[in-house]
Amino acid sequence: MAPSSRPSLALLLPLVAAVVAAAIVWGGVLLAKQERIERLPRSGAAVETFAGELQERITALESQYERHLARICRTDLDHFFGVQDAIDGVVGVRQLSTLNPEGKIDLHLAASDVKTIPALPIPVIDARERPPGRDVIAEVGEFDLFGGGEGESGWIEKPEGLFFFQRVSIRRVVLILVDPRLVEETMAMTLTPWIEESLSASSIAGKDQILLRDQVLASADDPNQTPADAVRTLATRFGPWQVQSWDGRRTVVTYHLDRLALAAALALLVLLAGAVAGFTVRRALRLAEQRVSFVNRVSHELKTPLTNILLNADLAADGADARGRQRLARVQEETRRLARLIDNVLAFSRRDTTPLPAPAPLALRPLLDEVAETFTPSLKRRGVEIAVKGVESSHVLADADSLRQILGNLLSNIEKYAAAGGLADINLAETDEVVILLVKDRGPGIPTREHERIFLPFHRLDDRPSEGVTGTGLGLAIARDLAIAMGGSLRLVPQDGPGATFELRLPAATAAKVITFPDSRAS
Amino acid sequence: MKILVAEDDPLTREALIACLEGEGFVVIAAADGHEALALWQSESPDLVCLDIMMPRLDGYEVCRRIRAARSRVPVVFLSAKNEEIDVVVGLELGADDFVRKPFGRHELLARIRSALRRSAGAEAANGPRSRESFAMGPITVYPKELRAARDGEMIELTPREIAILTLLHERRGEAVDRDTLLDRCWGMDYFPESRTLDQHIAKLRKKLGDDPAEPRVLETVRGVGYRVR
Repeated sequence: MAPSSRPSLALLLPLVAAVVAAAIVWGGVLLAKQERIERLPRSGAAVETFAGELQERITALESQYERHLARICRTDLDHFFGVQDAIDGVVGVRQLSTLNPEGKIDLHLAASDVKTIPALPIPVIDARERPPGRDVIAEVGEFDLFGGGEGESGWIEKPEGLFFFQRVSIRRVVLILVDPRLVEETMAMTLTPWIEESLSASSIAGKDQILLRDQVLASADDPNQTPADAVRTLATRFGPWQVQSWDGRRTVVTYHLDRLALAAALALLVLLAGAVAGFTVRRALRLAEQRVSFVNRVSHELKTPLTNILLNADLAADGADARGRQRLARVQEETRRLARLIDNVLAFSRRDTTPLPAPAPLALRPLLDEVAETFTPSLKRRGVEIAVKGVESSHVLADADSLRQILGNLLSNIEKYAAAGGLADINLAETDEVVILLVKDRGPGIPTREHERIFLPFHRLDDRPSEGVTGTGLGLAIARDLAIAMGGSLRLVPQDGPGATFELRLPAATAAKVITFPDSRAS
Repeated sequence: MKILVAEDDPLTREALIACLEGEGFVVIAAADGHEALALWQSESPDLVCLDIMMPRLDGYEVCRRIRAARSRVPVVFLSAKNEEIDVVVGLELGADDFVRKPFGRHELLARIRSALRRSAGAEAANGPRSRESFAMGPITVYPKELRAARDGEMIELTPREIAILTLLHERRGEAVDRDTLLDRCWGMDYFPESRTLDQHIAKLRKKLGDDPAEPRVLETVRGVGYRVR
């Protein structure tokens, strides 16, 4: 039963790849995208027509205004209240004065909303030269207001203000001061509904505006930030009017195909990598699961017969005599040892992190003798003499079962591969901290290049005859694992002569702590 | 005491039956999970002993279904590997214990005994009845827990020993003949020799601390059988 978090990795990798690929595509599109603003030149005709019509309306309003002013001049000027009413009745009129040929002011009135009447700004007027096409009289020299005929009227533009004059008689000239802003605003108010209607009608497209000075009177669209593409200024007396118009603008989007292709290729690569990684992980997981389930099956298959042996030995002991029971006890002991070995091998196969039992102080020699004794019959059958030599009283910190397994694997290798040498030697030496065990044979030896590789799991020497030889290729790997797990080491000692020597180093135990074998590991 | 054993390996099954029957348990055996479930329903055993790897329906599933049916029958798993136990315990399948393969008779019986005892204890704690027991002189017998007490000391008993003591207790004061004992405590299809009964009584006396030369609990009635006062 594999933890459920592991298969999710197989899904996560392609998912991450997909997200990265999407990001790459997105980025690629952004990089490849090019925006260009295209101008659609407008036809000026519509604007021109509109501006012309607006100009006509403005001119008409101005004429109308002049007629209003002329009417003021025609009122009975000696009738004070009548004049006042006339002044107040026309927008933009600030003051009215009448002059006589002597240059004296006969009458001086201000509009009712003008609080204080300032000193009448009588301009020094000179109208001898009149610019052609304009009613405005130029300010050159002395202008004789009484120089012309009766009924003559016109405009005088002076820094003091804008004046309208009418010579009502040869003895009297009426001079009206006008505020052009007020007139202009009134005109704008009058015209705005028509302007708005005209602009909203489709006759004028785009973002046209009608400006009165800086004030937007009406606009067909939101006021544009960019300067207008065309400005048409209207001729007016009371202030500048403008019709501003803009060309149509269109954003044209194009893509760099090479950048798009590059992004697509990259994304595809990432997707592929993700898929491959996901597939690989999934396969590895499947293999691992298969291995685990294989191990579990093997474990079950191996342990069932062992259970049968143990139970039957128990049952058989019921009816057996003392010697028989002793034998059956041995059978049970061996069966349990076999079970432990199987557990170790299976644990190795799973490469579990399950630690070994804590190493305990252990008298080495009795264990060596016991192992040697176990192997004596089978080695003897192959003509191999086994001998244990060296220090009698060495003690190591080790797990007895693991140590038995290491030695068993080394001796079993001699039995399988080096029996021709006729010798299996176990040499025991010790220092203060380590106990060194040398297991020697006089077999064909192991090539130098194989010295490390033989400790790899499943590694076997190719050139060895395999006749009658069985094995898993795990023995030395397990032995080294166990040695390392106990804080020791296992290696092959380089040597010139024939044969092979394995060196097992184990931490020494001080004699004081030793519990005598075989009781130490009894469980 | 009836035990359901589910084990697919015929040799193991046979050995398990022999071990348990030898102790006086009544054993019903199944070779796979389906059979185990069917037998559990029809026979209502006192304990279920499940192998994990079985054909058709594995031990986990059998246990899960037994627990799903709200049964509290003690379940002991027979397991071949370490991590299986994590599943049994970790996933709270409701197993009471496990015996790791390979195991001997002693380990198996110890686990079964302790599972039965815990179950009996739980039953006594939950149910209205108090702990079931009867006294025989200095000895108090707890049949459901498969043990007896003497001077505060617990004595482990087999189901067969419990059966012998129960029968003798039920007819206390009268001599129970050998045939009745053999018939009632060993069953119809079991033909033990008379010697077997004597051996059991001897073993029982030893366990109970009853002097065989001058027995005070289990008296021998010559030519008839045994008696409890």
